[in-house]
Amino acid sequence: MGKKVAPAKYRSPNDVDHFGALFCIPFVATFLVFNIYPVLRTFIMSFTDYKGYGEADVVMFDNYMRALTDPLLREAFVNTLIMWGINIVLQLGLALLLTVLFNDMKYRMKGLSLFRAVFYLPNLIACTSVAFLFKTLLDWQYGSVNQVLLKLRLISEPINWLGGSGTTAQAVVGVVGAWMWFGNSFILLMAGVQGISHDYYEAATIDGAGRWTIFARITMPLLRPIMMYVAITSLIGGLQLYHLPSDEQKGGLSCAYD
Amino acid sequence: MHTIETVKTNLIKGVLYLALILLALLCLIPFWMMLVNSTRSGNEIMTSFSLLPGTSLADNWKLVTDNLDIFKGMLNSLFIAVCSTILVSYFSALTAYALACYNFRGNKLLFTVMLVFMMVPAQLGLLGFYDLCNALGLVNSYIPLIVPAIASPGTVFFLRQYILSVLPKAILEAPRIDGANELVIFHRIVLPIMSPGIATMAIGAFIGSWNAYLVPLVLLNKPELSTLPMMIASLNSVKDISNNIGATYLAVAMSVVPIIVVFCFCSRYIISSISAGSVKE
Repeated sequence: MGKKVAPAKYRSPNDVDHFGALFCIPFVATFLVFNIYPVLRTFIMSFTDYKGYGEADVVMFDNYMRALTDPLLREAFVNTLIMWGINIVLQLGLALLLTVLFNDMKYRMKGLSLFRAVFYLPNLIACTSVAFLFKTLLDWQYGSVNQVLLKLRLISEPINWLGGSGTTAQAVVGVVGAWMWFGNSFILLMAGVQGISHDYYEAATIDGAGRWTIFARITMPLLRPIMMYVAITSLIGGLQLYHLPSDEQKGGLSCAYD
Repeated sequence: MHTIETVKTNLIKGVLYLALILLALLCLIPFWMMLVNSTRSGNEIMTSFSLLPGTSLADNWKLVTDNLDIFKGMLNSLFIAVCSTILVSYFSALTAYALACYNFRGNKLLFTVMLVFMMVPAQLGLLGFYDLCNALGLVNSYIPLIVPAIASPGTVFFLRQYILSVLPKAILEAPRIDGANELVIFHRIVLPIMSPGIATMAIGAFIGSWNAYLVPLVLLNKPELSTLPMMIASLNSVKDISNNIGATYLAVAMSVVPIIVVFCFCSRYIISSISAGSVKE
């Protein structure tokens, strides 16, 4: 249709709309092949006894039954939830605290962009590198953390951070996760707060609302969409936790993931 | 009374700054220790703790380069990251422009499907993805690591919002009256206006691709194709290196430093533009 129109003639906006569909073709084609097809195929295969080769027989919900009744898998699920819980409380709490601090009208903290950049730094490093870094820092024989604590006489014998009891290791994974991602949450929350109109705060201050009231009645409700986004994405990320636990504790959780 | 109040405020402010600096140090110290430990020998690291550089950089360097083809890994990672970043930038911008500025049939549907799939974790399709690549003969090839970048729903979503906030539609009318091709309009007018938004997303895409681990691990099993994160992860199994922790630190540091350099140059872009979308109307 576009070719029949003589050049240098005005085309109404409606005439060009089909170009939009044309421009989407590469995206749609790639999306169908590399995103939608694999997900659908994985989903369909979950109802069969496909072994990665050969014929696949339909077994309906057998796989799901086996997965749901497998104690090892249930344990893995609980472990993941514990680690995510520790992680999200620390991560969101810290990010929220920082957001409130940097938006406080009384103290007017400076250096926001510098702190923001530094806090974002841990996000840049590959999960595997972070895992290695903390594995060696926390090693109970020669890890620097134990060495420092021993030298400061805070502990009398080295703590087995990763190989000891399950709870310590889970807490470590949760804390390291929070360390990695709180900067990212902080940036998102800051963006959300800056989107809130200043008028609300001025009006509330004139009406004599205290700092806590302003936070609970204005900031929190208006920040809820962003909070939800941060919580959901970190839940998805948390349920996918793989590198950190598997590289940090070797064995622990990773075997149950197969 | 006024002065007492001011003194109190300043005191609290001081404490708050101190807390912030401590937190910043907590973010920086692991990196510093990594750099320091990469210049110390394994023996020194195991027996003593120091925040000052040691003298074993050359030995560590020799150990790393003897055992790992780390430059090959860097080149592989760089190649994949650059290619996929270019694809993400161009095609996401094109799709976002189409979604934002053309009213074609299926526009809303495509946008909705994209949003839904943004919520689906990528790992969910990993098995199907592997089967697909196997069937197409793409195992041990970089194509499955690069080409899917054409379809990045998150980037398209961000850029669509960005175009809506920065591109006045009237600007497209003039070239249309002059009879310019739609693709030419995109290349000459829309792309330059969008460049800050594209740059932000490109930085993120580059970092993500540089750090990608799981998909390359599943798809590549020839050592000469290994990417940098795969080499780092395999360090534990290399005997000579795990005997010398210092060399391992050096290898990790080498994988991190390029990213930090990129970040230092581009942090202004990342930070300002992440918040840009929500502030502009």
